[in-house]
Amino acid sequence: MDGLIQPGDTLLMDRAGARLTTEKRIGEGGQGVVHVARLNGAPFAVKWFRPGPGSEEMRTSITALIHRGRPPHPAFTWPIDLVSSGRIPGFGYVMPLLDPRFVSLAQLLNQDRQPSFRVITTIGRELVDAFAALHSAGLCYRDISFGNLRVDPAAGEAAIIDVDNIGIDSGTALVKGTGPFMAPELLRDEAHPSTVTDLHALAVLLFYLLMHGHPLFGVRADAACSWERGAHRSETELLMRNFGIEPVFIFDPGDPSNRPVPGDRALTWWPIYPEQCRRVFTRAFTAGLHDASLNGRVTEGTWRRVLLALQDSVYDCPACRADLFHDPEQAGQRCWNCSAPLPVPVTLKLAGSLLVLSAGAVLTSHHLNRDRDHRTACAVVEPDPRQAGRVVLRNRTDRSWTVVPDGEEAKRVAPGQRLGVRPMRIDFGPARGQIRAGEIHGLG
Amino acid sequence: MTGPGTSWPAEDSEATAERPAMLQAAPYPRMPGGGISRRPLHFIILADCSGGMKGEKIQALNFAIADMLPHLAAWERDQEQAQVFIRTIAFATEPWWHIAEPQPVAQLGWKPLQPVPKGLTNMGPAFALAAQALASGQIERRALRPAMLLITDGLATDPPGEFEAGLSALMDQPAGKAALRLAIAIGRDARSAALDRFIGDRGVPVLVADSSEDIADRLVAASLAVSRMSEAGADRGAVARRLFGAPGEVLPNIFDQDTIV
Ligand SMILES: Nc1ncnc2c1ncn2[C@@H]1O[C@H](COP(=O)(O)OP(=O)(O)OP(=O)(O)O)[C@@H](O)[C@H]1O
Repeated sequence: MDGLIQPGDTLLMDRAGARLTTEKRIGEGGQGVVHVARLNGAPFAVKWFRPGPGSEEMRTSITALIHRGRPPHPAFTWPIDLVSSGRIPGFGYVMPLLDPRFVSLAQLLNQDRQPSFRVITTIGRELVDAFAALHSAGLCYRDISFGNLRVDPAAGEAAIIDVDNIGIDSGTALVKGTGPFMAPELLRDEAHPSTVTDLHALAVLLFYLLMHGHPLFGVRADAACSWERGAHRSETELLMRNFGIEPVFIFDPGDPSNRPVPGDRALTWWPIYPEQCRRVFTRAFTAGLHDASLNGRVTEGTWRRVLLALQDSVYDCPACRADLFHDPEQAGQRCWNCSAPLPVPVTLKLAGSLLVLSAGAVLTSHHLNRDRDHRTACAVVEPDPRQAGRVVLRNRTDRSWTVVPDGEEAKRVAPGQRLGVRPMRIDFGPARGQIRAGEIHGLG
Repeated sequence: MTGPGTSWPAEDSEATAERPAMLQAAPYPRMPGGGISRRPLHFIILADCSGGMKGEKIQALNFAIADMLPHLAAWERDQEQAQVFIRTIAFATEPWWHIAEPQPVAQLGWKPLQPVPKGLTNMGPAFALAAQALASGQIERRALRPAMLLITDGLATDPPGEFEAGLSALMDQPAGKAALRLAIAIGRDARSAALDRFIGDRGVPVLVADSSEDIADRLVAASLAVSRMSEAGADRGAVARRLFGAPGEVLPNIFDQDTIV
């Protein structure tokens, strides 16, 4: 017994008046404990707070979150109602129970077998969309870090827990953030958590997701660490120095003083990504470190463009099948795995995007309608069963496309039909596009 | 494969008889591996193999460590900052390295220890051996604060002054001094005066366990504590309070807690 709720307790929902029965404890954090709880047989999660200073503020801010409702993105496990117990003082709140298909992001990135680039970039985009929804609602998260995120790689979905620290910029905050994700101005105690500091944390998170390391932990940060007598510094001091007072990006083009430590995984991943992506990270961790404003930091709109472009440019090495990105800015690209020179892949050019037509690629509703619907497939790219190395585009919409292949008559592609990919103009109805020849198998 | 309503539009079809098998998009294509770049967290187990440990006690010790390692490995998989490496010093009259090279916790299989017949419980030399391993230059500069776990029935038999000498050699190394030091006393007759001195923090209790299941629970709690303690801004006292929990109770989830409040 720890003075907190126990399995078998009955909890009363504040607004709904309904009763919940507490079941097993599934989590424990600094602020409280989390239990499974049942409401009319359906499972939910209840977080119960340890009594302490700040409890009242917490109650007020959670009440505000409940009233306001979830931002328009399903990733947030948003509070549904406050709960109280007849047995013990204090309070908690009920929220949706996280599905076990969600795993921690660190676990995913530490696996021996890494998910494909399509999966990684989809997860990144989901996270960006979720934080965009939050920030657009005038709220900030304040503690973006690995501990509060879960992902389902198979479904390409993200979940964000521990939403009780969400509030408005400069509103009362009990939490400042998680060390390595904290913006320099927060570490230096010159600012409060806000949308602007969230944007730094988001950039760090995306860097971890894509590059598998911390953007500011390089040789200089390493040199600040020591176990020598008289030279040892506490972790807090290290955080402050390396990420707060003199942060330097490990790939800063203008300052090579903090390059990655030999063996750092980021050395492997960084060159695999296209220039555009690396440019945006560079901005986030050079100008963005020092300009703590919405203009200085990279906002979600930019990340979204970067991640969508990455997702659209995935293909695989014809020689060794390694997963790759096509970089339209780089001539003479080579495979990161086998070093083979890479052919320019066949692409579909649409207004606002360039989709590499490699097996597994999906033309989404967003490609055609710019509606942010990235889940509805309008066409999928499949291997051409008649010829290895070539692909077909299957019409998954319910309308016919009109295509004019170079040097051929106009044709129709009915719903469900497959189109052999070759240079052509396509009218999808809501959008027009053009398939451009690559260098693969003489398609050019 | 060709479903209803699908035919081949606009193909100059010279489809040959030899069609390659439909290529399934591989769920795990070829990708770089290696996980996240993390900082090493050295975890040194000091295991009592004195004659007095024979029988149930050594079995309990072996079982408990083998049982703890997967928990520690599971915790580690969830980390973006810490990568756990295990080493083990066994000791009786003299200490020796049972696992000398730091082993990634995820790959470690536990080789059971045997008690040394008539072996004494000299802890001082074991501390001194650990001190050598934690000297600067012996561990990476970026290594996180190490963790040490002493498992014993608690009855140190060091000759006068030796226990202190070993302990001060350890405390003389910044990494030894900074290390999270935990101790588990095995058996009902366990005594903890020596262990209290090893821990050196009155806020952190000696964990007493008298069944192997009990030890396993304690070790898991200890391994979680290690994780908690190695993070920035950890509060030793808070971790200690959690370690007091009764065995069988839901283990504290002390993951992901480097939130700075
Ligand atoms: N909706 C949920 N469904 C399932 N598990 C949950 C849910 N919410 C939280 N948990 C579990 O409970 C743990 C603690 O939750 P949470 O992070 O909200 O607590 P906290 O006290 O705010 O922690 P911290 O000290 O990290 O801020 C989480 O790590 C997670 O494992």
